[in-house]
Amino acid sequence: MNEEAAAQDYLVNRLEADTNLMGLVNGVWLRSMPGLAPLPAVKIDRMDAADLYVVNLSRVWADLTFLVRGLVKWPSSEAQDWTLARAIADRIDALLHDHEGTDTTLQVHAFREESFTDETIEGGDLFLHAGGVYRVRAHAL
Amino acid sequence: MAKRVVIESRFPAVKAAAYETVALARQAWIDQGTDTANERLQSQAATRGYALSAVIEGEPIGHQSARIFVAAHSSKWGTDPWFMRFFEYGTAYIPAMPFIRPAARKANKTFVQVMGDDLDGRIRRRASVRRR
Repeated sequence: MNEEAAAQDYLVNRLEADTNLMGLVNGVWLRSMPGLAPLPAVKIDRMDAADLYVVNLSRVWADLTFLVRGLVKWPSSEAQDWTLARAIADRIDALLHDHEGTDTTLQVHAFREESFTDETIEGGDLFLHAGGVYRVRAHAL
Repeated sequence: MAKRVVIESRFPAVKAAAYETVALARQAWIDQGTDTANERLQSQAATRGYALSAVIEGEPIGHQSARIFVAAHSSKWGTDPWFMRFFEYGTAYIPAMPFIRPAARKANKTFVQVMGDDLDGRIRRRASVRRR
C-alpha cells in the first residue's frame, strides 16, 4: 500500500472535518491550488518521505513530512495584519500536533517539526503564509 | 632490581582521531548533500519545465560544521538566490519541490554511517591500540 497517498487523504479529511478550521478557510488544497480557488485556504505540500523497515522487509511506517499552511490574500495597499493567518495556523497546530489517529486503512501519528511563515507576491497580490512542517508517521493497517 | 611502570596517556591521539573522523564524515555529508540536492533540483525542474539556472554547492563552516546552499543566477535578480525558497517550500500557486530538505536527510545518514564505520578503527590506529 502507498501510505503517502493515504496519509495525504488522512490530513485533508482531518482538516476538512473540523468546523472551527472550516469557519476560517474556504477549503483545503493538496499541492496545487487553482488560481480561482477562494481564499483564505489551507494548502498541503509534501516535503519528504522515507520508509522504516525491520527484518523481513516489514515496513513499520512511512516517515513523511508535509508543509501545512494557511494562506491569506491580503490587499497590497493596506498594512499587513496577520490575525487571520495566525488563527488558521493555530487551528492547524491544534489538529495536527501531538496527534494520533486511525482511519480504515492507516494508523497515524503526527507532530510539528518546525513552524513556517512566509509572504509571497503572486500576480500582484500579497499572500500571507502561516503554518508548520509536520512529521507524519503512517502505518498501513 | 625494581621494575618501573611507565604510564602513557594516549588520549591526545584519540582526540585527534575523533577530529579527523568528523572531518571525513563532514566531507562525505557535503558530497552526499550536494549530489542529492542537485539531482532532485534538476529532475524536478525538468519535470515541471522550469528553466532554473541554479546549482547546489557545499562548504565547511565553523569548527566542524558544513552547509549546502543554492548558487543561482537570474537576469532579474542577479546572483541572489532568495527566490529559490519558493521552489523548496512552494507558494500559493507553486507546488513545493523540496531539494535541500531531502538532501540533508540523506547526507545526515551518510554522516552517521561514516562515523560508525571509521571512528573505532581510526582511534585504534592513531593510539596504536591492539586487540588482545
